[in-house]
Amino acid sequence: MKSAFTIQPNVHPEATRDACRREGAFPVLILLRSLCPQDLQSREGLRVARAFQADSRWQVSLGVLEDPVKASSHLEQWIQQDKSLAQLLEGLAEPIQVCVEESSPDTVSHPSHPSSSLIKHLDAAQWLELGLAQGCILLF
Amino acid sequence: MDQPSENPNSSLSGSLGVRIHCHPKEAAFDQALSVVGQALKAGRETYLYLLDQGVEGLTHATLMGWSQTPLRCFACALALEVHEIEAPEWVIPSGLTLLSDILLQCDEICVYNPAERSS
Repeated sequence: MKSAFTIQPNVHPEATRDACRREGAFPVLILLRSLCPQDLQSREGLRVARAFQADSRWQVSLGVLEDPVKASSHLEQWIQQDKSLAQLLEGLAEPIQVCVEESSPDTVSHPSHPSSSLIKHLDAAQWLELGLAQGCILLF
Repeated sequence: MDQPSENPNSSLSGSLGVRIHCHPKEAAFDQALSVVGQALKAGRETYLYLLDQGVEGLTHATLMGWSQTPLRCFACALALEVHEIEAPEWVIPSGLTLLSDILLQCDEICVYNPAERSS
């Protein structure tokens, strides 16, 4: 059994979480603060995501801490600039995951929206579940 | 060598892998070094990987004091290049494959994320 925990910024070290290793690939969530293509941290996050995705020992998920509408817009911009991003996203088991607050207008989930299939909206409970299912969360 | 205080998270035995992604000015950086120091004190097999802005902490006095210890310290080769930092001889520049190996192979892993954007 493997013990893993992450420490989020400005959180006391005791606020950690133990996670047991699953059979098969080790689940990691690459969590981006933004999907803005100009953001260096986001680019670094995707670099790590690409590297881990190429390693079959990892089960990579991508999450974004950004407003869903903004995330969708940024994603479109990024895909236009970098076609290889679409390949990365295709290789993920799930689309990019974004937490939708109850008050947020769910405008990007409309089927006609170009990036609607690339972003999955999670409510707060699903978002928490996603975090708990990970062996490791890397924040960028 | 710095003697960190007892850390409640370092009670496990076996190998420890620590990934530092935050800037050395952040509290999380000191917290990470505290965990590493505690592990070394306990005689645990310890691996440290500095990613992105974390490489700026290579000149941190505590870290430099560990050059003669069994700590296996690695720094992201790309980050060293971007930040124009030359790694000391005892620190091994490496790629993300090594980070992947550390996170997957160690019995316990600690990840210290940045509190703020660096860009």
